[in-house]
Amino acid sequence: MKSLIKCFMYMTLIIVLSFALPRLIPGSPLFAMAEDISSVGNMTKDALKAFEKYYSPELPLLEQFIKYLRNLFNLDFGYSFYYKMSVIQLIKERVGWTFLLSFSSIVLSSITGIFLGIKSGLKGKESKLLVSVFMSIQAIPTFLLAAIFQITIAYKSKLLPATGAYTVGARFGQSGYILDVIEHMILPLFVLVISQIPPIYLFAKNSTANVKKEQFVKMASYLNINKRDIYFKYILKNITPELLGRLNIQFILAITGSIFVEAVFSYPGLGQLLRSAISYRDYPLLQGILLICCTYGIIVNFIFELIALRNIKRC
Amino acid sequence: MLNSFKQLSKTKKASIIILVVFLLVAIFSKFLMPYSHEDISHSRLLEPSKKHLLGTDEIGHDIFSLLIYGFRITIFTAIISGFFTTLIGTSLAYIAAYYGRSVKMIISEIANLFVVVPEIVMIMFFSSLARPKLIYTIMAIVFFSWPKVYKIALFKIMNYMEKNKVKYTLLIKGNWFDVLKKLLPDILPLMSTFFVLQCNRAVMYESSLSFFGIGDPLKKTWGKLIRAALDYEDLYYDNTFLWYLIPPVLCLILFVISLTFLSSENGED
Repeated sequence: MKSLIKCFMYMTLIIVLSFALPRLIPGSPLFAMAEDISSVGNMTKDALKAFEKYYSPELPLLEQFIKYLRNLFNLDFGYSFYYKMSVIQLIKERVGWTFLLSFSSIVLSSITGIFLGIKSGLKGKESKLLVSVFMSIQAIPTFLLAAIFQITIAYKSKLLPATGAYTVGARFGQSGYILDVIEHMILPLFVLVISQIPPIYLFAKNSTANVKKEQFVKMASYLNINKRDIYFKYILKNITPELLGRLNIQFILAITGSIFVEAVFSYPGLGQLLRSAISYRDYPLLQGILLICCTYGIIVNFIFELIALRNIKRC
Repeated sequence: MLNSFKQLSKTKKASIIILVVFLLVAIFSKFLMPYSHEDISHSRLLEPSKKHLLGTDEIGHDIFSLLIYGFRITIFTAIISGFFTTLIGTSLAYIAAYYGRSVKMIISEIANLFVVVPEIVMIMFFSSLARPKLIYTIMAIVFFSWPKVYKIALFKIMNYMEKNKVKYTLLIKGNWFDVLKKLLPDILPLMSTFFVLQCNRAVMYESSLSFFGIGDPLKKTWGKLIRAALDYEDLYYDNTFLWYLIPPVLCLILFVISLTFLSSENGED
């Protein structure tokens, strides 16, 4: 119950922030609206009309806010200038690709990351090289990693397609469609997995090493308890809560990671939308993406909190 | 100072040397740049030669000069945002730890919110709305990345507050300033770690923003240079990418990796 209230509070804060900040930041279209309409730039008349209808900047702020709330409750995020479509429809079309990419990457990366992490955590000091490599990968921004792989594997050696999620013209249901999609997915997915493994690995390794030092594990090994039992019943069980906490953050990072990767590979998900929204200053679309990402983060956090609560009750 | 340097691990030593070199290049960039970063009088798309060490780009900039100028802007951005993020995060943590109760709860909840929400999307949203000026980019980075510093700092400072010297100070009715004076020797090393970490984050954020085309187009950071290279259509047809794309990418990667190894707590040997 308490986490539900928290959830609600976060959502309110986000809505207030997304309402207030665009009106406070100098240079934003809504701020400019108050001064001079022509300064907004290359907006067509229709777009301007839709914009004014949605935001009605002439109303007092409180009424604007109420209207904003009402629109959000009706899932009306406004009208994209650039795509000439309603924002919610656009996001609905694209969000599937993002989820496909981020969920499959998180499954792969957490399995490998946790497995490798526990393994080298148990071993102790022998994994120096792996740690350094992973730390270096973690330091590199995701988009750069994506660009490097795109150049070497797609452009220079032409092993895999460089852009898109399917060959242009291919349709769902056609023979070979699924294969085509998979072929296009390999490279972005690979980059995402590579960029996600290091934090999980380092975390799993450190917490395993910490638990291993505990007295009860030492005691267990003195008592000649089976090694397998020690690993699974003593160590894995004890690091599970921490790992869940880490996975929570990882789920949120996955969405931002896939946004960058999509933008590099022109994958038709939210990332590409975000990129064009930014370059054409498509304000309603930007706002829609922001709200979707934040809602996603809050929901993920809520789910993980519930899982954590259940775990505590069981103990 | 020299002694404490000798005690560090090899990777940390190497990182410090690289960072010092980078910093020197940034400080003396004016003397190292063969041409001005605004000079577009050269012929376009030249290959590297003695006159243009890294060739020229499609507008007619000397790429080597842009790269050196990038040192200045990128490192400047990193230091300023790292400094303010650390300062704000630690001060808020101290305030929360000192006053406790409702003050702590309110700040912590706000910080939690920004941890739950993907901060890079927030930074992007707000810096793309603002006028394309470097200062607004820095402000957006600082505004959305202090919570990470805050959370760790709060945890550590709460532990320090349990120390006897703090309890005595509180017992003889010392105010917040007296307590701070007692805690400063503990807080300062903490802050320096945060500072390095946040410089690292700021560079990542800035280059990601540049990749999306956000920020002051005149202030060419490495990120902007990479973006410009990627935007150039014929980048991969010949070897242009070797001197256009690779140098800023290498600089950026070297810089962030050195910062990462410097700030890592578990010395790797």
